[in-house]
Amino acid sequence: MHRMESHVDTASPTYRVYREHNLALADELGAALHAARHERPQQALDRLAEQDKLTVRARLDLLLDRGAPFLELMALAANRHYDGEAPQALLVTGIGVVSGREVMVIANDSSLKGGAWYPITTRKIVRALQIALENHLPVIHMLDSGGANLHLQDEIYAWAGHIFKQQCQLSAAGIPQLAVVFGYCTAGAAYTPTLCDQTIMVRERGAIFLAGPPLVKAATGEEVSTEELGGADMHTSVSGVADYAVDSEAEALTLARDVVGVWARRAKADSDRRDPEPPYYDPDELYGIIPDDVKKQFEMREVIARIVDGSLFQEFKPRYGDTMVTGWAFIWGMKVGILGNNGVIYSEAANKATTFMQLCDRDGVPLLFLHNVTGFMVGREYERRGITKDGAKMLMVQANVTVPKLSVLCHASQGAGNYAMAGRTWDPRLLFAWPNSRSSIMGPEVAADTLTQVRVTALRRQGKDPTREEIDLIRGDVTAHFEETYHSYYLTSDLRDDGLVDPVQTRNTLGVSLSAVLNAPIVRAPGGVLRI
Amino acid sequence: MALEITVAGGTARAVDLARHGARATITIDGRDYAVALGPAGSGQQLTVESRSERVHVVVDHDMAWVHAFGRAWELSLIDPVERTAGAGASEDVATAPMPGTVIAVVVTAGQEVAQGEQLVVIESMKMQSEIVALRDGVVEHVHLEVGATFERGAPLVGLVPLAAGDDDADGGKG
Repeated sequence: MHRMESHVDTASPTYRVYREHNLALADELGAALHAARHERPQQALDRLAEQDKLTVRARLDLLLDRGAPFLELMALAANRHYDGEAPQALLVTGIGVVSGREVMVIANDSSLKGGAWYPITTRKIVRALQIALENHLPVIHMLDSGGANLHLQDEIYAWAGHIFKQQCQLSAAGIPQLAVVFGYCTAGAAYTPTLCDQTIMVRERGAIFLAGPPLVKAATGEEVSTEELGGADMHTSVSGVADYAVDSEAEALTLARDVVGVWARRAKADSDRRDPEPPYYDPDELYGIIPDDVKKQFEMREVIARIVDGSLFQEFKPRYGDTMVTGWAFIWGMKVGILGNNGVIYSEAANKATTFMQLCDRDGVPLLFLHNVTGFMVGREYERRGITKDGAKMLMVQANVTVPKLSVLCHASQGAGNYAMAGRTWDPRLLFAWPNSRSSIMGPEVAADTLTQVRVTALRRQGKDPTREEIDLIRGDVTAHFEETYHSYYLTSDLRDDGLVDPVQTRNTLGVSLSAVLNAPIVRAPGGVLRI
Repeated sequence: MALEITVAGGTARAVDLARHGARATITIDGRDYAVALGPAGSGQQLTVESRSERVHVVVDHDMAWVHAFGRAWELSLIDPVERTAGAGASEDVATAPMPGTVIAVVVTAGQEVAQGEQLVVIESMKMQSEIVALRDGVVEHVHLEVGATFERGAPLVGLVPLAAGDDDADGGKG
């Protein structure tokens, strides 16, 4: 492998403009994350203290190994939904280390709305459990939720069943689960602790039952206290629904660490490794490389040089299909096959990507997709040369590789290009996005043109002839809708990625991610590699 | 395998090494030298033909630093693939890499441009791309105006070579 050669001029005016732009985006992201994680009304914090409860962040501090990385996932969930009343969808999830084992943590945040579930909360749990299943990560459920937000029950109910089914699948796959019950687990939610291998309950606070005291009274007339009906002592000594009763949250979390400490340590997947080294080129320079407009182009090799160990990259087919950059590198000592876009995908670029993926799949090398793709090339010349056929090959191979896939939306990720590069719906093990990134079915200008034309035609058919101003108004509406819904904050709010990442944090994020995905064995499906 | 190595950023030398046990033949730009290298104290003893010298070598990826003959030499290995990257890009006419629309024309006819300088900006497939000068020259003709559409391979900007030695005479700004 050779050290890449950088051609970035850090003294150029463009570099300085881009840098200022991207530093502002990084600050905005930092502020948004801080607000979502920590900013709560004093009243909410007082209420937790009155109930003798810790904040979810304090619980995590007690659970996780000190000094070990915690890769929080979907941290800005629901930031553009529900009028912002459910920061993080009132749930914290991420990959962390407990007693030396990599685990998935799923923890309710009861500081607001009693930690109620919203539809996005439900989908966030489903996604976290999917990540746990695919990557063989043990799960620690930290339960403290008032249950479903009944005003939104239909959308919650549509997804919630997955959670319990996934818990059953985790058990069958030999992946341990532990529940710590800090609050009520009522009705369906009662099954989460009950489906875990082991469950810890906090006395006087935690409860598990199919119906709480008021509902029991309404249904049968029976009057019963919470502790009698589903408290820690009853469940750990009478019903056997739970296993350990403790007096405080701190005790519960200490015990949780002990329980996890007994779990089997499993060997990681067989994958090429070497001693990690930092990139030769400073990742901080990414701020000056990423353009200030999603339409402006940049060289993806400059990004790779600031993410991979030693800026060392063995490029595959460097002179062919140059809008697709392919090659091997190491990130935190773990080998990856990288596919990065330099804009639009042509037939040659697609074919190069297809062959490269087959090579990596055969050799058991995880794939990393770095998106800056506006789609497959359109036009007569390209259709005649079968661009769709070449795109289909790329999709076919990408969908069926058995090695883990990771994706980062670095800039544009549009049209079928997003699919070809293992976008969200193609199930990469983990997918992250930079705050400057945009993703949609097509570019906003084209969409605005098309939709404006459709509406104007419809008005004319009704005999109305819209004026110039009215047409501008229609266009303004359409553009505004598009600008909102292809924005990184909107997409992350709706869980189209596993989190927004500050570009300079990409390397560390990918390091933790690779380490996590290697918990599952790489099952190779050997086949011949086609030179297409 | 023949390697290309530069010393202190100078001209690249073609270097080939053939080992015969403790001795070796090194071929530099076609000329053979009998050499030997062995440990000596904290460094190594290098023998080239009849001359012997104590050397210290540090290798970091594609770079090596050699201390010999009373000073340090910086050696750089040229990647055989990167060497040819971007080669052949010296045409007189900047052409369109894909069909699209011109959204900005940065230069005018008669203007002197340096290699890598922006000529026009095009938009295609929701992307803006800068078309840059592939070599130093003078803009002969800008073929398209802002808003014009073009096919792949269409000429965008024509360049003519700089007249030798006249850069001070007329300033080159027609």
